[in-house]
Amino acid sequence: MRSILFSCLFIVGLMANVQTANANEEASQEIVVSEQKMAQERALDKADKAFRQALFYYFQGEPAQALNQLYQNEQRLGSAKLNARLFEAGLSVHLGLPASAQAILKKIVEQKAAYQQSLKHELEQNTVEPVLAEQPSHTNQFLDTDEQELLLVALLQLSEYAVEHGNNLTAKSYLSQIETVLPQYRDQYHILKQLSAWPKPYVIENTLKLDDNEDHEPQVTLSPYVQFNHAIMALDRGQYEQAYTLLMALNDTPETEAKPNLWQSLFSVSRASEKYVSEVVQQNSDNASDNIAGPYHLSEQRDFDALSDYANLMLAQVYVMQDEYEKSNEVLARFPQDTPFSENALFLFGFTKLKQGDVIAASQLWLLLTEQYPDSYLSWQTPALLAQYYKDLLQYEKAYHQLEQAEISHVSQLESLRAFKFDFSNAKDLRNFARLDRDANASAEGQNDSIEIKLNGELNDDPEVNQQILVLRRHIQKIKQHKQLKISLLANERYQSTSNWLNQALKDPRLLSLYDDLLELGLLKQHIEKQETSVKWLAHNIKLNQGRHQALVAGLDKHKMAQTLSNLTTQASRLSQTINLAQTSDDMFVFASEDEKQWHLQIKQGRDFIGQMSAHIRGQLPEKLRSYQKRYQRLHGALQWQLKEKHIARLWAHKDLLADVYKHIDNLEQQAIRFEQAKQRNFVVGSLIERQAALQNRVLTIGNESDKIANHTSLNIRQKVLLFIRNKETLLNEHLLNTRIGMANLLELIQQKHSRLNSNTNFKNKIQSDVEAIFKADNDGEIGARPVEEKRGQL
Amino acid sequence: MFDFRLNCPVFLLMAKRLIGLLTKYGKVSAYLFALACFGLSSHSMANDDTNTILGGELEQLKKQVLSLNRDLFILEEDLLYPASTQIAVFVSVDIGRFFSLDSVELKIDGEPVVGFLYTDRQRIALEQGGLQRLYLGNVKAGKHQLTAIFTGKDKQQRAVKRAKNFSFIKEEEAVMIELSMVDASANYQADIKIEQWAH
Repeated sequence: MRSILFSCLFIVGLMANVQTANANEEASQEIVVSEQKMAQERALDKADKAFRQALFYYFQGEPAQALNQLYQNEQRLGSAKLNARLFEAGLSVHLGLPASAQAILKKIVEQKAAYQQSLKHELEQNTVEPVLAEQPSHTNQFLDTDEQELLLVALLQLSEYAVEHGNNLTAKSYLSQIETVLPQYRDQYHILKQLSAWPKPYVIENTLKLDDNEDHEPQVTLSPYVQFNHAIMALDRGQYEQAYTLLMALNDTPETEAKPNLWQSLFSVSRASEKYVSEVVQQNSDNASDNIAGPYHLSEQRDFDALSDYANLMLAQVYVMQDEYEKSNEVLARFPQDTPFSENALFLFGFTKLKQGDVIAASQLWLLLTEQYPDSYLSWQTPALLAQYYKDLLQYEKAYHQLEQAEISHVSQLESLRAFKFDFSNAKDLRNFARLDRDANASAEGQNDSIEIKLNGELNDDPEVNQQILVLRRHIQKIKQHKQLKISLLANERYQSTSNWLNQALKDPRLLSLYDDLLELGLLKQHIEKQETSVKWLAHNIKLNQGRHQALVAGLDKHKMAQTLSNLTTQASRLSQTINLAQTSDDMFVFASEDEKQWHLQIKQGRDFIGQMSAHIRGQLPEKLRSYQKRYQRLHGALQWQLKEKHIARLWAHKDLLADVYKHIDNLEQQAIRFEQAKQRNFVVGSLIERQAALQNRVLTIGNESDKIANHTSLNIRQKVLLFIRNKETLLNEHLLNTRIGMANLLELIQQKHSRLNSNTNFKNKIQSDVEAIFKADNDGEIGARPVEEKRGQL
Repeated sequence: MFDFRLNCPVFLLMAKRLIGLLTKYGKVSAYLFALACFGLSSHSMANDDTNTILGGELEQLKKQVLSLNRDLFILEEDLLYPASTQIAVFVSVDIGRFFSLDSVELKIDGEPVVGFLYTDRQRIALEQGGLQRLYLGNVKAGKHQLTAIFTGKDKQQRAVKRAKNFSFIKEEEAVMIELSMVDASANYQADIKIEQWAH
């Protein structure tokens, strides 16, 4: 019984132990898990703060600095959060790095499946906690967007790139991965679907899945751009009625209200100037609750007007092609003056008027066109059109006059073109050839100049002082140059020229893009030079550090710090022992001053002398000696009493001093440890030297690469511009030839006309002479003569 | 006799260039249409290849410049501000309804180390959630005191100054301190919150 009881107790105890062990194990596991979670949260928190540093630059309108910060974050902290990576993709688009953006977006999308899987697993395990426990207080879409929306943005952007490069199939495949479309992205989605289906017509999908929060039928009104593209497609197929209907409907499309979306603004502008970017950012920041200019919404009146004007122009063109000139007139009469399409509208309006027979109105309109757009290809055509009109009316002189004007114009254009060709071919620096110089860097340079003036003030008379001032100035200058390592990847504005011919050539977006590249290369070159200076400055700094380090090591070796410390410690110990002894013993003379010691010595010597004397005297000591003894005794007593009075205070004072000494020795020991560590730290400086050397090589390589690309770009620009010149020359020569042929034909016609007139005149003269002959014969008595008036009447 | 063309595609080509104000979607469509009608495909595609190659090279160069910039920054920080002596101070604003930041001054152990005047843009960037690294410097190991003085305006545009002290101990690892101007709804004012980041 007892044994059973004991065994039960044993088993219970064992179970309790096991349970305790399990509990302990669970507790330790929980601690590990919570530590891991805390570490993870700290890492996420760090990542979030690092991302916000990039946002600080972005919201100031410095996207290059923001991207620089993101790169640094990645280097320091490793992989970034999803929103930071998407932000990096958007900035890459801004700064002309589309391939990088694409690579990032692809990675995000590829990892989408893996992410969703892990999220599902975590939800099942119930270990998911929000990254920020509190509700974020910032109303910032970059920070607050959920992963679903981020993936949607990524997929839309990837399909957009594909569309831009003509890869419609790829675009379709990305769009097919979209499961849910949030309302603010609906227009973009439709437009991309349409363009990816081009040239096939796009039918809006009725089964489109929408945001789950929507509880009503999706709106089927299409974006104005979608309707517009439908109209273009109809025109392409010659379906003018349909095109007409769509264009008319476009005019009636109400303005849509765009909701603010920072992600769309981030991806909307590519190769834009930083100035424009900063304006967009500023606008977004200032008008957070108002409509923001989004790329897929007609939220600005300017955008709506431009689209409406273009649609009206196309409508007028449709009417002209259908010979409905009245209707075309009506549309063009309402056309606004201040629009980018004025040139085309003026030409078309004049053409319509000419077709209606109103040559005066047509001439006036085309005169206006020539005055406002003298280099326009359309304005070159107008004299030929007028000449043809007059020719049809048999007004050859007027037709000839028109062609004469055209010939003069063409010859003048050809001369001007040849002069431009000569200047352009001989230009060494294409970047600054005939450039409209509105470089904002001028103001920055002006500011630097003012700093330079301050730095370069008058020097002192003393040459040694001057030398020091110069050294200091150079050092300050180096720091200044180094601190100007702020990166800028985009030109402040697009290339513009003072030359009309070059501006015409720049209407080719490919050439304009090359010039933008050239400007950016110029900026990059400047930045590379700054980086070179910076690398040299770092080398100089490392050298200084090395010198300091060597001086430190030499100083340590010279001063033999360890031995000195040891000596000091020994002395301090000895002093401590002395003080302790003084504390425990009754010896008051330990802390006696020099005077007191002297007095003590004198008293002792006196007493000893008297003692010696009294040893030689038998019997009682003489009175004097006894008084001396007593006096010495009193003095001794007084001295002792004095020392006793001061002993405690002196003891504590010495103890304080000793404590100070120990403190100083501690500090010295700490310093010695630091010096020793600094001495050992030479290997860190070594690694810095290696890194600096590697960076120096990279700077040189990048500099050479930049020169190579700049040369290549310049060559391409030259080829394109020379091709443009050749084409224009051919065109002008063709026009000139046609004009001259026309003039020759007209001259022939005029000559024929005049010769008919001349032959009519000769016939008249012949009849006149015949009549006069008859009349003369009549007067001479010839038979059958009639009265002259009657005969003249017969003529 | 006279051969002048007044084609729809010519129009659209002209218009396409001017449509740069609009987004790319109308533009792309018009351009595609014009290409289809005007038959500019072959020659322009060849030029597009050259542009694409150059564009790719330029992009590579930009990336290299950016990555070099990054490495230079990091090397500079490692050289001039090693972790054993580094102190970094950050500034953030939590919403910013009750306090409009004008300037921040920082002192360490009574010595002024940095003063920063904010432009409107910078202030807005902070209110949008940005985080600014105000100061990066070196301090010796041991105990130190940081003093932050925020100057700005309250909601009624009255000049306001707020200051706060913070003690910290410098050890081997870098010290990172965040100064946050936080709106306090209870009293419609803003307070300074100072937090040292954990490693």
